Formats: sequence, C-alpha cells, structure tokens
Amino acid sequence: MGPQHPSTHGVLRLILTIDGEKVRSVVPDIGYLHSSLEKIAEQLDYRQYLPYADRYDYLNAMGNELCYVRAVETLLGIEPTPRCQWIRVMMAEMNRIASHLVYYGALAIDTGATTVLLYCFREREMLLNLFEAAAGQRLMYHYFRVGGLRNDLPPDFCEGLRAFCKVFPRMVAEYDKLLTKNRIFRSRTESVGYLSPETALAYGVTGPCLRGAGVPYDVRRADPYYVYPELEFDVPTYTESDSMARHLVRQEEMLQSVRILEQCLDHLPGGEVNVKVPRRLKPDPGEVYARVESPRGELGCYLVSDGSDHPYRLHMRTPSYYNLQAYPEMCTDAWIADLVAILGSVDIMLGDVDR
Amino acid sequence: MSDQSQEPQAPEEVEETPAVVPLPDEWQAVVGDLLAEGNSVDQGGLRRGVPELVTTPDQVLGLLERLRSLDEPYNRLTDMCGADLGDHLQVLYFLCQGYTGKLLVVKVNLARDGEVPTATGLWPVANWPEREIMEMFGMTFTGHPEPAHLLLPEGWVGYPLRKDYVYDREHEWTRPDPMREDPEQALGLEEEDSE
Amino acid sequence: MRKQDDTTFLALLGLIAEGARSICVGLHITAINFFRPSVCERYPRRDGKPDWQPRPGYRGDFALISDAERPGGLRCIACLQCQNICPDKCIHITPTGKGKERHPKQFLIDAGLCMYCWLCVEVCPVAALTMTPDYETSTDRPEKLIRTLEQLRERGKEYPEPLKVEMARADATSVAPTERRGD
Ligand code: SF4
Ligand code: SF4
Repeated sequence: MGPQHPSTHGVLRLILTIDGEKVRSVVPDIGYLHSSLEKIAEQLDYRQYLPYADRYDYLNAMGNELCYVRAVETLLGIEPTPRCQWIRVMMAEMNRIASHLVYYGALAIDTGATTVLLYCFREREMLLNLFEAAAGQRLMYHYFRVGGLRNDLPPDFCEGLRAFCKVFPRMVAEYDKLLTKNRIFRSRTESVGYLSPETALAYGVTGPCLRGAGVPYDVRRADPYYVYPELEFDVPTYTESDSMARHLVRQEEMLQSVRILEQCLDHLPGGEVNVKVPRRLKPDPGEVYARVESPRGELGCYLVSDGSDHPYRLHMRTPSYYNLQAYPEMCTDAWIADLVAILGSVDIMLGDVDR
Repeated sequence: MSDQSQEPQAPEEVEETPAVVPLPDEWQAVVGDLLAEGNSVDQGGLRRGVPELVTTPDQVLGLLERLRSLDEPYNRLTDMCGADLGDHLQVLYFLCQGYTGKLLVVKVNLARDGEVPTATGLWPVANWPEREIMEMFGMTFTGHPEPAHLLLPEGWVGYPLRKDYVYDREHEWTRPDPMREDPEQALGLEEEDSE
Repeated sequence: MRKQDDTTFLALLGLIAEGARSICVGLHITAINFFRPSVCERYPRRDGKPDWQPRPGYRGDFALISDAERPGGLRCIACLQCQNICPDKCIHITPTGKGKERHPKQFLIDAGLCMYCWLCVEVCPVAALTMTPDYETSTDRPEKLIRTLEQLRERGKEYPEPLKVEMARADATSVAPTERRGD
C-alpha cells in the first residue's frame, strides 16, 4: 500500500502480509520525505536553523520552534520575558488545536465521512488567519526567535482569539454529534487498533496514543516548562486503548487547549517580548535536551554546542517516528479496511517521521 | 532522586549550573557498585541537571538492564541518537523513569567502526533508531534483527551524519527498485503461478 | 480484537435504528451548517470585487525599496548581509561602487528555493529589502521564479515603504476588534 495512497497521510508505504481480509503483518517503509534536517543544522548557525525547525512536523510548526528555541535558549542561558512565554504557550496551544482539527477531519475521511473535514477546516481557518496576522505565514510560521518573537501580537489578535474560544467548544460539540456519536464511525473505531499500555511503554509511544491507553503522561505536566505550572488544565485519559479512545483524547484535548487559551488571554502580561541577544549566537560548549509536548507526543531536541556559532549536533526526538513504530502492533489481526482508520487514529505526520 | 527533578525546573539555576554536574549522592548508591566493580562507568551531566553515565560498548547492555531493574526503574527508552565526536563515535540512550519525566542519559563511546550490542531485546523501540544510527554513522549494532537501511535508499554510499562525509553526486540514484525492474517477481506473482 | 457482533434479529434491528438515528443527527447538523454564512470564496473572483488579500505583515514576494537619491535608485547598500544570512543561499548580489556609492549591480533571489522565512528582511540594516503581500507567484517554469534586480525594483515602486508588522500595545486585550473574515 502506498507510497501514494491517498489516505496514508503523506508518503508512506506499508508492506502488508495478508491472509484473505485479515492483516498478518505490517511493515511501514519510511524515508520518502527524508531531507537530512539534522545534517543541515550542522552547516547553519543557530538563528538560521529556526525556519527548518518548522519543517519537521509541518502541522505543528509552532511546537517545533518552541522546542528548538527552548534548547538554544537553555544553552545560551537566556530566559525569555514573561509576555514572550505566555505568547509562546498560547501559540503552541493554538497550533495544537489546529493540528488536532486536521487529524479530526482526516480520520473522518479515513472512515468515510467527508463533511467533518470541511467543518474542521472552517474552524482551523480562523486559527490560521490569526497565525497569518501574527507571523505572516499560514503554515511555516517562523514566528519565534532566539530570545523572543518576531514581533508582538497584532492589535486585533486577542479579540479574534477570544471569538474563536467562544465558538469553538460549540463546534466541537457539533463534531461530536456528527462524528463521534455516529454509529458507523463507532463501529469503525471501537475495539479496533488495540494498544496495551505495556506495548506502548516498550515502543516509547507518547502523546494521545499513550493517553488513550490510560497513561496520564504529558510533558506539560511531567516536566513543565514556561507558564504551564500556573495553568489549569486536565490531561484527559481513556483506558479503552482503541482507536476510539485515542480519538476521544484528542477531542477532549482541544477543549482543554481552549481552556488554556482563555487563561492565557486573561493573564497575558504586558511588557517587552524580546530580550537582548548577541548578534552572533555563540553558546558555551555543552549539550542540552529540551522537551515539549507536541500534539503527537513528546518532542525532544538534543543539541550539542562546541562553542562555535553553529550546532555541533542536533537531534530531534520526533513523536510520530516512535508512534509509527508501534503501528504494526496495533494492526495485528485487523481487517484491511481498518488499517487506514487505525493509521488515522495514530495521527502520524510523515515530515516528522522522515525528517 | 527527588531533588534532581526539582533542579531543572528552576530557571535561575540554568546559568549557575556548570556544564558538568556531579551526580547527587543518591546516585552513588545506584551506580556505586557498578563503579566499584571496575566497570568503566563515568559520571557527568547534561545541563539542567540531567544525570549522565558514560560507558563502553561491552558494558552498555548490562548497565541498561541494571537501570531497568532498579527500585525506581528507568524503564522507558525515549530516544536514541548518535554523534560523531571526531576521533570516536557516540551512541546516546535517553532513558525515562516510567512516566515521571525523570531523564537519564547513557552514553557509549566507540571507535569509528565499532560495534554496540543491540538494545532491541530490551526495548523493541530501539529498532528504528538503531537502524537510523547505523546508516547515518556507520557503526554496527550486533544482533540487530533487520540491519537494513531505514531512511536512506538502499545502496547509499557513505554515512551522512559523520563529520567527514562528502556528498557524492555519482551515487545519487542508485536505489534498485525491484518494482520497476520486474514487478511480477517483486510481488512474488511468478512463484505463485508456478505452484 | 473486534467484538463478536451480536447477530440476533433484535440486536440487528437495534443497530439499524441506531444507524438511522445517527444519519438523522448528521443530516440535522449538515442542515444547520447549510444555513450558516459561506466561508468559501471564489478565486479568482469573477464578480469584479478584489481578490482575497492576506493580512498585513504577510510574507509574500520580494521587493527592493527605491530611493531616488541613491545610485541605482535603490536604498540597498549592497552590504551582503541578507546574502549571508539566507539559510538556503538563494540571494546572489553583485555589488558595485565604493563607499557611499556602493549599490547592487545585480540582485537575484531564487524564489523557488526561498522559504519566505523573513530572515533577510530582518537583517537588512537600512530596510531596503522587503516582502510584499503578493502571493500570486506561481509560474510554469522554474527559471521564471528567479527575481532579478529589475523585477524587484519594479515591485518596489508599488510598495514604497517596507512592510511593517503591526504591533499591539502592551495591553493588547483592550484594543477594539476589527472586522474579521470567517468569524
Ligand atoms: S538588501 Fe539590505 S541587507 Fe541586503 S545587501 Fe542590500 S542593504 Fe544589505
Ligand atoms: S526569506 Fe529566507 S530563504 Fe528567502 S531569501 Fe530571505 S533569507 Fe533566504
């Protein structure tokens, strides 16, 4: 299956062994989108690499930037200003919603419902408009800078976001009725794609896939960064460990993100967004491992500096890569027709897998 | 161990923490006998208070297994990566203590064409990262179940993430594509026909 | 892993009823959405109204700001900083002149390679290079994507001032909203 199958979420090839309609084994064949982003980092300086960080998981560009910027700032010993931290958290959460909306629509398509995608994209459009106003682009934002942001928020940003926060929970309730409560969708996802917590541990699965298996692990809580300790939000978990559980986790997470956004809007402090950074970024030799929670799981950035102005070694721990590795486990004894639905519920991003 | 997890969260400490943090006392109890046994386990530290152990290829599996069977086990392998440190290569294992967020790094130094025993027996998750490290750095993970290329095309020449790698355009499109050359054979159709 | 389906007649009937209910709920929601204002727009517009415009600050195609008093009519002093910072190395400048007279003889930007990251604009010491909200850059041949000095200068005449990123005041939450699309 693949590498251009319309429902494989990018360029992925699955090598299947089948017995009639039953799947005996699945071997994902990856690497079609490999662009050697880790090697590129060794030739660019710390500032120049930032736009490349967007290109790991292109639906979660802000989250990737956050991770990379956090690693560089730790290495340099820079602490961003409070306003900058709040805005960064806000952007990351907005991006989480936007990413989950794509997931939501894509899963609906995978299970045969096209309408939901259009509604999801309508709401996502509101977020993308906000991103566009703030960062100047709709997908590859390059909004964060080492030591701050490209610019402060545009004037009507907070109003737009408030409007979004007001309508969005209603919309999620609508999706819920339309898709999650739908009998056909439920038979396609319930008790399908079982992933036990033990398997999840063995395969290093993180993110909604893990929380769908009943483990309340979230980097935002386990290793809090920026203002997350001050924020109130729940980490939704479901113990059914099937596609439906993962789906419900994401649906719940969108609402939790809205909660975070509302708190961000209420608490957003004034002041500067940028701190002074030297023109040439030359961190002391050392290494750092920074983690953030991306919509797909734990995103880590291992960065080694040798004292020069470009990274000596950069490695990103991309969540889709590890989640996809557990995908064959979820597909044991599934029907062929369910493969795509399971893949949709794992929510991989091939740019994130192949790097 | 509890005070370790506190350290990384306090932002003021970032500047003050020297590049190498000595391991806290609790750690002496954990790895103390490993050190005493004459194993080459060194201690060091990432910034932000993440502890780090350095070891050699023939002892890494024992160390990993040991860390996995502690009272508070480091039983989740979150990440693996390689690094080229000039005269030698390095493999890094990022271990987590369950789902608590406590991180530990195990580093293995090895020669440029060295061998490390595979950790796939302990964690199936090591499968892909090890394949990736193998193709990117040219070291070998002995006992790996399927040591084929993962991200790079089959027949790629050289190890791209090594510092001395020079991209050779000549080898650009050398991937043999069985589907293009003989799709029937690639799909195994011929054999079935003959049966 | 799939649960054994209950195949008794009653259960089947229940399933059908439930399925029918789901479809009714779905249709109901679709009907609600049918009467919501449409968010789609025709592109290109045929009714004479202007096409969709991105928000201010959008990073689109490039322009060089003109300055009649300087040689070459451009504000650019050919300091090559943008060329050096570009991560893709897609800017190629041929400088000419000495001292205050220094200006670019040729200024090539390969828009096909560029990733519109804004670094070159950010780094320019005299705000001579800018991006415009022009997003209609697609062509049929890759060579046409290379912007030359002439093209950049022409576009600079349309955009006399560099693109400014509007910023909120520190108390951004209290600024009156403006009309937004898609809300
Ligand atoms: S555009 Fe700006 S940065 Fe680039 S050469 Fe001209 S003056 Fe220098
Ligand atoms: S926007 Fe970025 S990629 Fe494009 S020319 Fe400028 S620096 Fe280079």
